Formats: sequence, C-alpha cells, structure tokens
Amino acid sequence: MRRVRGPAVAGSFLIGLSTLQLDFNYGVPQFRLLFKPIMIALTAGIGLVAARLWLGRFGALQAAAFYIVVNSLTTLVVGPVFGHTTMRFPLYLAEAALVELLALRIPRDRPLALGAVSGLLVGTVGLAAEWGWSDLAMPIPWTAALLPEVAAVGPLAGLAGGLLGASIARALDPDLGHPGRASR
Amino acid sequence: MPAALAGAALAVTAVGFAELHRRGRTRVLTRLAGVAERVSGMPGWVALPSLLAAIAMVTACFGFYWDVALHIYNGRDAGPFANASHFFILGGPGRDRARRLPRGAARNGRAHPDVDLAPPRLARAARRRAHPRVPGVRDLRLPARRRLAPAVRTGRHPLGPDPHPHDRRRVALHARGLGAARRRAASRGRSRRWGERGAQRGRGGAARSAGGRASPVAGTRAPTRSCAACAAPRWPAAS
Repeated sequence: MRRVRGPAVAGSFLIGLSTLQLDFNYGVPQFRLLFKPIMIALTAGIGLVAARLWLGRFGALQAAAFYIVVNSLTTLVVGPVFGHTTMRFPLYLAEAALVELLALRIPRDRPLALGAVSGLLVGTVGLAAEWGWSDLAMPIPWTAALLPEVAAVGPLAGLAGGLLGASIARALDPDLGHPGRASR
Repeated sequence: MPAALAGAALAVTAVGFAELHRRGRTRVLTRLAGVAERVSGMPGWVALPSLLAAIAMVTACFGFYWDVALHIYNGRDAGPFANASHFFILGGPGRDRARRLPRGAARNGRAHPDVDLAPPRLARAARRRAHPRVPGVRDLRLPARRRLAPAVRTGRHPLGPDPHPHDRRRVALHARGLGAARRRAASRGRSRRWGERGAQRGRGGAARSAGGRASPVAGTRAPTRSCAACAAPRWPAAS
C-alpha cells in the first residue's frame, strides 16, 4: 500500500489530465483532430515529468502503469460488460520511457531543463509513437494531412507541458532545483 | 427537487457525524483513522481523508466514463437521477465533501489513536501538554522565548506551520528529553518517574542524550523514534 501511494497519486494526475481527450477516445470528437496530439503532448509533458521528478526513478513509468491499469479496468466494465462503446486511450508508455531515459542524464537539481528537453522529445518522438498506436487502436486514426500541423505544434505543446510538469514537481518538493541542498 | 432533498439529507448526516466526533460521542472516525493509518503509514488525520478521496475519485471516474458511453447512444436525459451512472458521479464528489469534515475534526488534536482512545481526562491532559511549537498551544512550564518557536513563526518548520498532526504528547516528551529519560531510567531498573525528575532537574543529560537530529527549534531535539506517524515519509514522498 505504501509503495503504491506515490504511483497512484501520479497516475491519477495523468488520468485527470487525460479526461479532456474522452470524446476522441470514444470516437465522437467535437473538435479538430489536431487537438488530440496536442493534448497528448501536454498531458504527457505535465504528468510524466512531474511524476518522474516527484517519485524518482521509474516514477513516470509507474504513473503510466497505474493510468493504464485503472483505465483498462474501467473501460472493460463499461464496454464489454455493460455493452457500450469500448473506449480506446493513448498509453503514454513511449513518452514515459523517454522521460525516464532523459532523467538518467539530466541531474535532478535541474528540473526545468529536464522538463524542457523531455517536453520537446515527447512532442516529437513520443507523438510519433502515439501516431503508430492511433493507427493500431484508436477509433479515428490520425491522417497524413495532420502531419505538418502536428510537427509544428506538437513540440511546442510538449515543451509547455514539460515546463509545467517540472514547475509542479518543484512546487511539491521544495528541495528540487536547489543544487546546494541534498538531493533525493 | 429530489436531488436537493438528497443533498440536504447527506449534508445534515455528514455535519452531524462530524459534530458527534468533535464532542467525543462517537469513535467511529477514530477507529477508521487508525485502520487507515496502519494501512498507509500516514498519520490518521491525513490517511483517512486520502483514502476517502481515492475511493470517491475512482467512483466518479467510473461513473463518468459510463455516462459518456451511455450518452453517445441515448442523447440527453432528464435530471440528476435519470440513469444509473449518474449515481456514481454524484456519489464520488459527495464522498469527497464528506471527507473534509472529519479532517477538520481530526485537526482538533484528537486524531491520533493513542490520544483519542485514552480516557477523556488523560486526553485532555495530553492536549494541555501539547507541543510548544504548535501555534496557539502553550506549555507554560517552558520559558517564554521557547513557547512559540521561530520556525513556526516563519513557517519553515519541517512539519509545516499547521498544528502538529502527530501525537503531540509524545513529541512534546521527546522534545524535552523526558521520553528518553524515562526509558533510560526504566532500563536501569529505576522508576520512570525517577528518570523524569532527573531530566527536569537537568541532570543526566537526558535532553542531550535524546540523540535526535538537530531540531530547527533552539533548545529542542527532533524525535528520533516516536509514534508510527512520525516515522512516515515526509510529504512529498522521497524517491
């Protein structure tokens, strides 16, 4: 229980941030498809960077795992069991792996640097992975016409998200980003 | 209209329950807090609300997903009790409201099972002897300059500017070295009162040998080993 607490909080944060994507996930979008990758990059940047900085090693992957478990259980009950539309959702696993890899190289006392670089990578490489996942699983796959716009806006959204996530982690942990103090 | 009535009934129940708890008429919240504390390792006053919040959020999330899936096919429906999924959505935040009440009650200094389950007289005495670092709670036997420590005034105390969430009585004993002195006396075959007297006279160096890490409050030491709540990791969790 004590071990699950941190990942559960971070994973719940990810679930909450992802709620806005629900109409895309159910295949009944009310807005442009471009908003989906933007929201994924923002959410992954905010939630995963904050989780990695706040929880330490594997924090981003743990948050993504909690998100996937809770969303899968809920979706299975609502979809196959109750007989409604089955929701599909982005997995954030590629993004979480990117954040984890970068966090190995960028020291913990530079949270904003980690947030910025992870955000940029999430907005490019991470979105490329989500593109593959959208072809495989999502109700409305992303089209090639979307590519130029995603390439232009995705990194920006990721960058903004990563910086926000790092700021959130810094607010949660006052020791973050102060090189003089002991880092955990 | 039925929604308003149901909401009012729930609110009255929750407020009445909290009031009973604050008056010491019911120990249900205390027991639940104790269970939550043992399971989570956090102090009961934060463990129980967190647990309720987690249950409420999962319930509301499930209801929300279900509701969206329903409305995709069914269009709009009439009012808050129109379909089953709404009950989950309403139940979630309702429980979220409810969890706030015991927290206020728990902050009253009665949240810790040790203090809370003690007979009322003992609990009152424990509260009177509460920690001098807690604003608003004074220990008159301490010199004035230590009654309200600078760390509290500046809000930089590691336990935060709020009232100490843990067992105040035992923390206070540790801070003055009395707990350590009692244990030392007991281990040498003396009575616990003997050790306490020695510590108060300043003999035996109980306060110095209490052996905690240095406390930011001048003249005191942070407890090394106190209640289970004190051993819990600081918020936010360490990596």
